[in-house]
Amino acid sequence: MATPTEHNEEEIHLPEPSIWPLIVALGFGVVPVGLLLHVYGHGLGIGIMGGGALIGIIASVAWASSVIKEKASIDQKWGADSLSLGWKLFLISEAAIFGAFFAHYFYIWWRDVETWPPPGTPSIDLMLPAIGTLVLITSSVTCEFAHKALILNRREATKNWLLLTILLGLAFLTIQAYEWGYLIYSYDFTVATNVVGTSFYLITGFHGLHVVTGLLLLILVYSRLEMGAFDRKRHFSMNAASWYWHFVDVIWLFVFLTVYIGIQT
Amino acid sequence: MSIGTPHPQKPTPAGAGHPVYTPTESPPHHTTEYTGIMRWLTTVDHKLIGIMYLWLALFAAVAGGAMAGGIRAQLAFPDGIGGERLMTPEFFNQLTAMHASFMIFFTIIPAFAGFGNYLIPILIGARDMAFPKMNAFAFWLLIPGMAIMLASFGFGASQAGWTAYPPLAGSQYSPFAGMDMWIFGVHLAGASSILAAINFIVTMTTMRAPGMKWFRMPLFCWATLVTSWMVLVGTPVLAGAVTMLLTDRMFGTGFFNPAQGGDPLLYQHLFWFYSHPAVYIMILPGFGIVSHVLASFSNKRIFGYKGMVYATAFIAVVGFLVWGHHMFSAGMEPWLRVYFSFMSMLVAVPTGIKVFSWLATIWGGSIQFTTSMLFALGFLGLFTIGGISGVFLANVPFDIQVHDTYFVVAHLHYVLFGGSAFTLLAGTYFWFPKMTGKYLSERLGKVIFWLMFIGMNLTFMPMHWLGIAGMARRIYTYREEFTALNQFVSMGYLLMLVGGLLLVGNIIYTVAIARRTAGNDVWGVNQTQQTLDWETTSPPVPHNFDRIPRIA
Ligand code: HEM
Ligand SMILES: [Cu+2]
Repeated sequence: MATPTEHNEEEIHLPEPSIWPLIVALGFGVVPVGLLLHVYGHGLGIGIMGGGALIGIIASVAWASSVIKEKASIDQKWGADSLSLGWKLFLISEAAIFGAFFAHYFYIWWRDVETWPPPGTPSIDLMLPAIGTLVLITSSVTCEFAHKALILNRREATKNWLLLTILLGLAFLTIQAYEWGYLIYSYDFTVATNVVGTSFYLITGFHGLHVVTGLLLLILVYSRLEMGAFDRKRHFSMNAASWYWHFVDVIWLFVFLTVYIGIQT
Repeated sequence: MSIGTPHPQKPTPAGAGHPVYTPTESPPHHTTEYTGIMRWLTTVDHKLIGIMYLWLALFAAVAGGAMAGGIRAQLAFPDGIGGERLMTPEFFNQLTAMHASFMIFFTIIPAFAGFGNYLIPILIGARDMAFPKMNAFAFWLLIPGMAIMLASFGFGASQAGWTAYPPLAGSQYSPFAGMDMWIFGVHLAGASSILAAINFIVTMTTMRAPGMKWFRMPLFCWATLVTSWMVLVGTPVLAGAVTMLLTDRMFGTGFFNPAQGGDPLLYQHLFWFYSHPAVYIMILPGFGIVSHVLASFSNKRIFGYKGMVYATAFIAVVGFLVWGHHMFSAGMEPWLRVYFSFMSMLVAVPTGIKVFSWLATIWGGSIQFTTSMLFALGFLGLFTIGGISGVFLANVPFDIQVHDTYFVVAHLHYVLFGGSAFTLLAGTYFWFPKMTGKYLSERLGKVIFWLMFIGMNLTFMPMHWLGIAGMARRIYTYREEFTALNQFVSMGYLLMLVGGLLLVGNIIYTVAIARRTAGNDVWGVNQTQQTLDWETTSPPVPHNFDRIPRIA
């Protein structure tokens, strides 16, 4: 019988079995059930939704930390290639979802171009969103600085730049929340007002969700730096978080140019 | 950029045609070992995951097949038996919607994902998929997805067909939770597909064995690669479309509601932007499978390998540009109709290239009529019929006549049942011994093939007639004069039912009771085929190959 040592190929590593993928799938799978119960007026709905999400999140964390531990024990020099390709593909599929929403918006715009924007649409003051745009662009730059600093192995600088990025991201979200509140309370402009309201809130909301996810990734990277992970060559999480952050930024530029400015014209 | 294990040993040409080594039984380097059910629940092995996909698909096929039985029973006796209705019209509508949803989202797509999972790492000479845990996760997402969809029967299941067009699928006409559950089921199945697609692309890009250049990958790999790209770009759009439907239903948004300035036609555009490519997502991997089967049992190499690869890629690209052919009668600018009509017919060109390459492959070969080969040959004939009726449908004047009639039902079943399902059956008979070490009964297999083949033609061929005569699809009843033909069609269903039950029985029997007799090269074809699936044991060891093969 051949054993791995008999041929001097490097050792065969199969990944460890894990229960977490199953638990995460079931946890998040319960979320829609809770949402439905809630929407159809069942008291337990919110509880079930929260419970499912909590299980999903806890199991995801457990999954991630098991992967980190496992990876630490083996050389992952090819892992990084696969991971970065996989992450880029994931971003492509994310872009395609945004594509569906934008396609809808553009179609309506093109159809109604004579009477654009449809009645009920307030004229949105561009000042605040423009500031938000600047904040987000700046945060992309600071994120890049953090990345560069890590490559130069200046860990303290990395952490500081990251922190700044996170704060800017939070500032953006605050601006966004204020803006939503303002539009809803002062103009009574909601998702149900007209199709532009629908597109406006769904696109900015979906984007906001991505900002939140990006922030969570950045916080994750920050805390792993805190714990002493990464070196100048191996820091896939940092790459991933910063791509994601740039991606969110680019989508925002698109949102700003087409939705904010578009609604005015 | 193939990345594999460097190894100085003597090269293991994939084409040696004989096992060059005997892989060990003992799985290396696991600190945790589970047995029994826990082994399945915790597995990250692409082979076990692939098998679970296939069981899930089989389950969904049985469920979807039973729903088809309900449909055919109702249509055989639209006024009931002895004055007693078999079912309410509403339930009939639910059956048509859920039959298609189960067959598409939980049978065909997962079944191809199952074959892909099982075979891709082996065919490219890798030890597993690139992201084994995400692989397991993608599979497990299907469980809540299917459970939610199945459970929707208890909460007013969708009656809006698998296409779920608003306003029919909106809150006004489908006020039940079952419709929302359908949407969530699609979400979960879609998320699963996207993750699997990412995994396939990365695996084939970074984990091919040394010497396995792109153009040395077997055709099933190519088919899965191209399909994965289609899933990656298309499925998110479907997710977006049904999400809009969901927010329209739940939160009063106006995406598809004309009262708020929305547009229901837009749903159709978004839906078909995904769902026309989806029909290729459901057939391209099957093309890959039959390429292996036809070549193997003709004892020849596949004819025109590169042409096959390019044709597959071309189909995928053009497949994204033809979605409007589902909407000819929905109202569309005349020039757009011309464009979509032309592009749709254009798809027939690469498809024709493939069909002629398969014919050239079997031409002059020494053909072995195994069950697998019979299904592949059956596919060739039936799919061609479906392709031809597709070209009919791409003609605007013809389509306006038969849109939403049984002609369309006939077309889609020739391509999806005669096409996709037959390739799955060919693949099942072909690789079952590899996966289990056991052969399915060939004698019974031939009986099953003929039951399926004859039953399928009896069922779906008359539907062309019915459609042209004007019988509408998705309606529980019809004009008097269609009765005889409908009862005939329902008899055809019974033949397929018998075939299906025999198949399920045979699979369960073989897995549970039969003994392992298969060697490495299960069908004795690797002398000519030179693919890696026949170079490892049946079933393969957990690490697939003791040494990563080097392709000469
Ligand atoms: C030569 C290639 C093909 C052409 C030109 C073609 C054309 C068409 C057209 C024009 C329709 C719309 C009919 C209508 O609703 O009025 C249609 C429907 C359909 N086709 Fe094809 N088709 C082709 C191949 C395929 C293949 C390969 C598949 C699947 C494997 C497929 C699956 C379907 C399905 C499922 C529908 C019905 C969708 C529904 O539920 O409304 N087709 N086809
Ligand atoms: Cu189509």
